Amino acid sequence: MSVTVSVRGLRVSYGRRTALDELDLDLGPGVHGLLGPNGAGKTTLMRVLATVRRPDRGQVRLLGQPLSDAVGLRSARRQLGYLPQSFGFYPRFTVREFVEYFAWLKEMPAAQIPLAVDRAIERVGLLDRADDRMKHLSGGMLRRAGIAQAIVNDPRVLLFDEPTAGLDPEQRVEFRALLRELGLDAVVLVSTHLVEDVVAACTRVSLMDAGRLVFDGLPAELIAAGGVGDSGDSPIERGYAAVLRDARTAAR
Amino acid sequence: MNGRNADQPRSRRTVVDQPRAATDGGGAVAWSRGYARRATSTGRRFALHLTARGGPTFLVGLVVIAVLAWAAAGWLASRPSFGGSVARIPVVALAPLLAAMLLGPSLAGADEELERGTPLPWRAWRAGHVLLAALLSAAVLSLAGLADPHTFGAYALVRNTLGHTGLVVGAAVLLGVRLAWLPAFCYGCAVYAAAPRGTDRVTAIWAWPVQPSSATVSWLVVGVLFVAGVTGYALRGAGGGHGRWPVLIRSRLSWR
Repeated sequence: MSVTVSVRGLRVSYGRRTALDELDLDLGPGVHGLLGPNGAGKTTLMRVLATVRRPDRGQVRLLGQPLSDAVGLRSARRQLGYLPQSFGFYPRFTVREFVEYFAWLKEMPAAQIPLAVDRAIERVGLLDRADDRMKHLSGGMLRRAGIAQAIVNDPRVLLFDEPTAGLDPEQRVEFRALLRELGLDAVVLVSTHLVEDVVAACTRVSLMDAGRLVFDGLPAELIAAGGVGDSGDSPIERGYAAVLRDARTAAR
Repeated sequence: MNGRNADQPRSRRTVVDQPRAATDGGGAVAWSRGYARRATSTGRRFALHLTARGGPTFLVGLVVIAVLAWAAAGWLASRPSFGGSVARIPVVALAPLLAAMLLGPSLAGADEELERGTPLPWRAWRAGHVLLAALLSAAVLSLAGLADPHTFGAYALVRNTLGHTGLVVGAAVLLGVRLAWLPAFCYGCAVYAAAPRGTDRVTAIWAWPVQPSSATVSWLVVGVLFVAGVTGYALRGAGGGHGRWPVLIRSRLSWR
C-alpha cells in the first residue's frame, strides 16, 4: 500500500478531555471506513486531517507533505476535499456558485473551474437544481452540494464525515458507487455510523474508541471478529461489538 | 473491493456514469448543453467572495445609514435651540457604530471550518477585506458631515468609524461574528448615555466617540483599537462561522 496519509503519535485534547491519544495511522488509495461510538474521536481526527484543527502533539503528513510546514500545508490543502459532519451553507449562493466558490478557494486554475463545477454537480445528481439557491434545497440536497464542493478539485485526499446522513436509500446506493469510483486513485476516508456503508463501499476499515485506534483491517476481518453471542443484527455489527468489547476489556 | 457490493447501481443513469458523459468526449457535450460557463475571472472571484460575505447587504445598509445620518445631521444643525453643529453629536456617535455593527456578519463565511481548510492566503484576504470595508465606510459616512467637517462632522465620523470597526473586528476574533457587535454596541451606548462634557486627556481616552475631532488623544486611542483589531483578525480570523460558537469558548485555534 503506497502511504498517502501518515499520522504519528497524534494527540488532541479539549481542555482536560483527550480526544485523540497517541494515534498512529497510515492510509493509501482506496475507501477507508472509520467506525466508532460517539465521542471516539472520529470527527476530531477528520478535522486534523482536514487541516482545520491543530494537534497538541504528533506529526501529520498528507501526500508526503508535513502539515507543520507552511508550504506543505498549502500544497496539501490544494489536494484536499472535506465534507464536515454539518456545514453552514451559504443561503445567497446557488448550488453552482457554492461549488464554484470552493473551487476558487482551492486555487484551481480558472480555466478549469467551469467544467469541474458542472462535473462535480453532475456526479452528485444535482444538475437539475444547479441554479437553485441553497436555501431552497432539502437537507439531502444540501448534503449532496457539500459532497460536490469536496470533490470539485479532484482531490487526492477526501474526507467525508458522516456523508450519508440525510440521504435517502437510493441516494446512499449511488453515493457508495461514487465512493468506489473516487477510491480508485484517491485516499477516501469516510467516518460513519452506518456499518452497511462500510461493508458495501470500503476496502479497509478502522475502528476507534476513546481516542485510540482499536482495529485496522479489511471489512471481512472485522466481520470475522464477531461471534454468534455478540450483539448485533448483522455480521459486521457483531464484529464491531466484539472488537469494541475486547478493546475495552484490554484497556482496564 | 469486498464481495458485498451487490448493491452497486446497475443503471447507466447513475451518478458515477454521468461524469463520463461529460468528459469522455463529452466535455463538448457538457459545454453545448450550456452547463459550463465562462472561466472564473478575477471579477467573478470578488463577486463570489462578496456574496459569500453578505457584501450587498452591507453596501445597501451603509448607504441607508449615510443618508439617514446626512438628513439627521442637517436637521439637528439647523435647529437654533440645539446649538448648531455641536448638536450633531448623536449622529457622529451612532452612525459609525451602526456601520461597524453592519460589518460584523461579513467577517466570516457561513462555514469557517470549510473555508479555513482551503489554501487561499487567508491572512492577506482578511486584512484586505476589513481595510477596504473600513475605508469604504469612512468615505461614505464622511459625506454626511462634509458641511462643517471640523465640528462633529466628517473628521469625527471617520475617526469613530475606524474606532468602532476596530472594536467590532477585535470582538469577532474573540467572540465570533454572532456576538461581534455586542461590545461596540454596549460601549457606544454607554459613552453616549454618559455624555461627558470634558475634553481632558482621560476623558478623551475613554469617551473618544463623543470627543471633538481636534482631540489628538482620541485619534491615538482609535488608532490603537483599529490596528489591534485588524491585526488580530488578519492573523486569526473570526472565532467561528455564523452558526458556531466562538473560539474563546472552544479550546484551540486552527493551523493558521
